[in-house]
Amino acid sequence: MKAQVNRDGYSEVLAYMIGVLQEITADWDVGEITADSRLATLNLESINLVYLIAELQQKYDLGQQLFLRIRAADRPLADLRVVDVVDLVLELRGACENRPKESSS
Amino acid sequence: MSDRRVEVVLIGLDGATFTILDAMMRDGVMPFMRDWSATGVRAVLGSTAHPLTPIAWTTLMTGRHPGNHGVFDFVRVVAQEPQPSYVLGTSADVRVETLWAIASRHSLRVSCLNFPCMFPPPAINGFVVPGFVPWRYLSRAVYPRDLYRRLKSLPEFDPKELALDWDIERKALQGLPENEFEEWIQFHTNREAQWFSIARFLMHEEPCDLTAILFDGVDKLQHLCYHLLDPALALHHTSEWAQRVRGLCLDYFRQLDRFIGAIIDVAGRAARVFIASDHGFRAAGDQIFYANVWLEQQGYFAWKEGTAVDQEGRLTLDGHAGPETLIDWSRTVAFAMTASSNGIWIRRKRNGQEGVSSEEYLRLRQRLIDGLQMVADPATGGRIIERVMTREEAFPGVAVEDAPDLTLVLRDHSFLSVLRADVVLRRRRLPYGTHHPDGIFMAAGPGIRRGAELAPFSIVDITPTLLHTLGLPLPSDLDGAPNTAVFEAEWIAAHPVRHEQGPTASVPLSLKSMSSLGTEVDEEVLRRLKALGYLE
Repeated sequence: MKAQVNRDGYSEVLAYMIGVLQEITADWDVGEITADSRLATLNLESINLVYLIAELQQKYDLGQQLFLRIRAADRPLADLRVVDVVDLVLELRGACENRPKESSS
Repeated sequence: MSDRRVEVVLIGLDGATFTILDAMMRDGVMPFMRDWSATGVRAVLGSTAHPLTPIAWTTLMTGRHPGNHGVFDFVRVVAQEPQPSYVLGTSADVRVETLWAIASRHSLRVSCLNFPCMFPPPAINGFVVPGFVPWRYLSRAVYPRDLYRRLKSLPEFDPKELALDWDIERKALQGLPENEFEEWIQFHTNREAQWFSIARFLMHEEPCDLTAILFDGVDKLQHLCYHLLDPALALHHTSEWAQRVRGLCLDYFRQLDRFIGAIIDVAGRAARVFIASDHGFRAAGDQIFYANVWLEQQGYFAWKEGTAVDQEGRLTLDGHAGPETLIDWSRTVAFAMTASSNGIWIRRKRNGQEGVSSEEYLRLRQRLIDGLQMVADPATGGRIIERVMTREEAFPGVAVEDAPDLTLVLRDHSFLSVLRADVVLRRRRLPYGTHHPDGIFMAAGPGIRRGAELAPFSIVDITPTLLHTLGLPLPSDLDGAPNTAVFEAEWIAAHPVRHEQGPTASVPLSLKSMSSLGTEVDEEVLRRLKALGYLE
């Protein structure tokens, strides 16, 4: 069930993230942005990537978990590919969606 | 242009202090402010327990103490992890309703420009351009999204000038070489012109019941140039360079005076205008306290092998690497992570990580307090640290567990350093301005007293005062109260303070976040919260 949730969400999260990156690089020729694009190649100062992560966290209701997962991976944010971030979002969403609801009963 | 009119204007002046503003008004640098302020009231506005921009502005714009709104720094420190670190503070960290949201809930329209903790921008009934956002991200940071397209159509709009450049600011706050001051002051002068342009555009095209704009260059300039602005100190800085830099700073304040005048002019005579700062300012002393070096000497902290010793009197690392990269976490139980918070964190033993047990926690905390209060100036023997506050003392409330375990008030109100040094105290290389708890408040307009100096009051009272001015009932869970002394007796008699009935729309208060503490600490925290009136 979890895998199904993740697979279904992949295209949407990827499209959203590429859309954000296209918007904030709109005035520069950074070439086509794909799932395999490395964030370092997008000619963005790293602070913009920090704001991107903050936006993704809010969009997908992840609290601060995406920041923490990237920190835990001990890799510079800019070294990640678009798909790496998408995978983390999906992984965290899956975990979130599998959590028991606290107050629904 | 809309038929709607501006009812209330809030102009934030980050870090403004009467020490500087009064001199500017007296000396003719700010003639509009001089004349306008004579038509209203003024008071010293007390800041938060730790007077820092995101903490204090969030208190101002929520009417809640930091322990309840949940913002304690520019970043959120994640202390209780095997590898502590910090993450960007965002609007999601604000646990309670903002002034902007409350007004929106009552169908009033709001524009909110350049305030911190507003990214990602919340959906309000109006317009948000958050502060502290890098320029390339601005297009995604404004609300509603279409506003960015409209701003881009303004001939003077330049996102590069509007946004704060974190790299420049981080470098500047560590001290600039003399030949870079002029460009940096001009950068901030140009930034304010960008924010003013947006405010003027919205006031003309989309008038809101509440227009709020924050000018933050006051804080920036005072950090590096306070000694050239405070009349008592400027006397001692007479070099040609100092005169030229002071002249540029005065030009900044002249422009600010014109912008404030123009904003009040556009708002019209019927509008009530409030000017407030998040904290005041003063000159820092000549010594820097290296908190982690002191903790190392006490046996609670260890550096990673090879960590460089700071020789330059810096407070934190340049660049994007955080101080967590310098710390040997396997041998550290207490640490300072950010200079801005003046906070010390204590690690808890859990999941195999280093730290202290719940039983040890209070004892260690008290040992740290006792030791910190003994740190002495070797020259005079006087205390370096005026006060050490526990988090329950500094930030009581439901979010207390997210606050540093200890918050230091240094005797000169300066910020500590998180870096490694060969001594606990090092002489500061360059003059530096630092935050002081005494900020400013001014107000004028219909129903507001004229020519009155009010008793000092708290920044937590601003949101309730503005809500009351807007004719709105107050949510029942605000920590502050309207300062009725601002208003004429007749006006306040005709407009009694009202409160909302029933539960508020604020984020529900919860004590769940305290559950990870041990039983003994829970009981201690609960006892103190009860004593402070936060719990029944």
